[in-house]
Amino acid sequence: MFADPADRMMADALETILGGRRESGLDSIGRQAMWHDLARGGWLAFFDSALSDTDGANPVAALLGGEVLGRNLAPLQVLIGAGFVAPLLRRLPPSSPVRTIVSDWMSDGHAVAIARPVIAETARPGTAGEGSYTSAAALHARLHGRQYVLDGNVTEVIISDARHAILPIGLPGGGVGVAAVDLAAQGISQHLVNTVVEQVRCGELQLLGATVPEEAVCVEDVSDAIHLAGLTWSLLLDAYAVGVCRALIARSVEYAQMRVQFGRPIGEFQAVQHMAANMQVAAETSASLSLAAMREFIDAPETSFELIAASRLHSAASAQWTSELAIQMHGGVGFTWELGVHEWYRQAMFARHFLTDNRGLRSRLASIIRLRAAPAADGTMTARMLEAIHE
Amino acid sequence: MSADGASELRRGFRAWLDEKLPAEWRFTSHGATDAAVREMRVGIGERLGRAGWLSLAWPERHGGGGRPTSDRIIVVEELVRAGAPEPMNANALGIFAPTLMRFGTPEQCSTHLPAMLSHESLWCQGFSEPDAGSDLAAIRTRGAIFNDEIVITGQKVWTSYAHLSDYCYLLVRTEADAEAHRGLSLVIVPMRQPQVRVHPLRNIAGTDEFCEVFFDGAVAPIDNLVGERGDGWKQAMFALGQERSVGLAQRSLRLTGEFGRLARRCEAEARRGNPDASDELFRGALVDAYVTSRAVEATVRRALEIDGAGGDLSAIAPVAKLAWSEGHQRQSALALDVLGPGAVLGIADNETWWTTSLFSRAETIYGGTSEIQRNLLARSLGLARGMGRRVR
Repeated sequence: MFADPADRMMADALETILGGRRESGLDSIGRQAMWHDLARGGWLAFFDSALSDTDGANPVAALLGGEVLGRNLAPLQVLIGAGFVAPLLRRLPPSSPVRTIVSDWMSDGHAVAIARPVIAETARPGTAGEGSYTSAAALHARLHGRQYVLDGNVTEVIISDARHAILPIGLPGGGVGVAAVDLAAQGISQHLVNTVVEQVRCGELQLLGATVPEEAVCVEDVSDAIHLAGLTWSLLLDAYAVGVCRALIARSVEYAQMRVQFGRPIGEFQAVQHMAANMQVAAETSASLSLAAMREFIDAPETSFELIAASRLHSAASAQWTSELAIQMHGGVGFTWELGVHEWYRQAMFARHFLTDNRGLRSRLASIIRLRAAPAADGTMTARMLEAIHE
Repeated sequence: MSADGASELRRGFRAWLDEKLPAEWRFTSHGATDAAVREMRVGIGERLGRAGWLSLAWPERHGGGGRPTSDRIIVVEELVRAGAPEPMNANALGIFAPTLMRFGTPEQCSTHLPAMLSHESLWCQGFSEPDAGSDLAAIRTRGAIFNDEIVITGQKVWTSYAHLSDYCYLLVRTEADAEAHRGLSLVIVPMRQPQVRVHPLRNIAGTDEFCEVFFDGAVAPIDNLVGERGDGWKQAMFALGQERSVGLAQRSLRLTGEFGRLARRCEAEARRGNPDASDELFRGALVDAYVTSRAVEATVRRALEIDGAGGDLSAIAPVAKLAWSEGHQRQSALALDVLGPGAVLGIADNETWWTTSLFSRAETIYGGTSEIQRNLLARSLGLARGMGRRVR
């Protein structure tokens, strides 16, 4: 990968802001401060711009920046803001006040909750399917004076520290709008559960006659915007996963150079060396595929789903496998909390299973592979092809 | 090159292939007999070479087109798409030709490169020996220098197509007393002499192209030394570096093309009612193979970009080799799984798939075994034998 000096400086600057402050070492206030620094420092806009069709498009910078987030286990709210909310807001109708309302929340340092974005079912812009961000749009909005009244349940919401949310609204004529919601508003109840990542809580929101100002709801169909934001979200998750892999390789190599058994550093043993090599294979293939997917997204977003899906599956698996190898390389202290290896593993598990729609992506890819492999629709073609194969 | 220029090149080469590549040469297996190999692999090599497609990215001073590496990749992509056989001299053109351009004399280049391109002369690589496989520096084949001749004595093995070759680029030990990595030299040896005996070895796939070669006082003129005497290790490492970049790109792009054929075959089998091809587990495995093929392709393209910019390949070239070779083995095994019991029968084109699967076992061995690649990666990460002093 060619990172020009400006890209490197950008990555260094982001590294400085994060300063090795990993999420586990921060309480809610600390996480809020990290988020605040990034939001106020224009980093959400940076990622949004790097993965866009503007002059600022720069897949290498996006990958490097995402890696820095992953290396430092940046809080999930950063990923949500940079990877999903900012790209969604930019694609909302310019006249919609929702853009300003949510941007102001984030600029003021407030995290924003979202329903779990799923790209598989929104692969075709304008269509909403079961299980996607948009299908969570079980919310109904009706105008009452100068307010909208919201009713319904939204499942699989990622909340963590958020006090606000941007939620999908089912539109009467089909399509999906969005509503900017203050979670403390009357008529909203949260049913949250713990997750494998200690600091992250997810769950269901129940809205029963919750009211929001009229301007906080966009009732135009924004399915396409949600679809594209889902793709950038997926790409940033990939870069984050690469960062997780790279951080684990660095930590594991350092440990293998220092830990002595049988009179020598364990890194001298080939069995240990080859675990590190396997981690490197996972990291580099993921970085390569992520970069290819980012380029494809910037060049041709309408046809980029296939590569983005492949990259998401590969990067998610790589981060989890690399974490498992890191635990093994660290031996006993990899299993305990002493050196913090567990945090990477838990994050990788969460990203692979909750933030990635494995079943949906695999199912879509299987369909695409079949579709492409199928002969022309007329039966004669099929017969001729089979004849050629079996004659 | 502009996007328009790239499209034009692609269109032009595609049209050329439509005209020059016979249908019976497309999507064939490796060629079981010498006659078949000669006809297909020498035939396509000769046509491509004479038309300048194989030297598109060579410097103009060596008779090449002076075009960027990206153009060469377009040619490779179209060869893969058309199912063309690999040119017979692909190994020499990919590995030895750049080495000769870098270290050889102008006379050596002008003598050998045109004939290598046109396939008037066929070439083999003489590196591995029975006791020097992964440990290449342990080679013992002796190159004794007497006046203006080098007299070669020893044995090489895994020398592909030695029995058909006119020349061998051979790594020999010219300085008997020097340490392992020193005292090696690279020399061009004519194969058509009585002091060179070639015994084809039958490989796992049943073909005979891997050979063992005995040199019993074979002679090469001193002018055939490539580069400085005793500098052969540096040249061999340069040559193997070529193997790990552009040569690998050709094979990895074939992996993606081969996946497409596997998917089509799988779909056809499913429509024919083969329950194995319709099995959901295999469908899932097909997705895994697809993801792997895309990851390999992306990695190799990135390695080429780094290489083209003069960057360091040490951390990524072994990744590309490992991901491709191990991915191809899994994909080949999967192909047999989805074809069901008929996979190993001589029906349809199943022989192509089982032959591919059998050949794929060599891919984690040649060009640096998987173990060597992992050692290289570990070293690039800072883990190596003897890195820490013994503590007790």
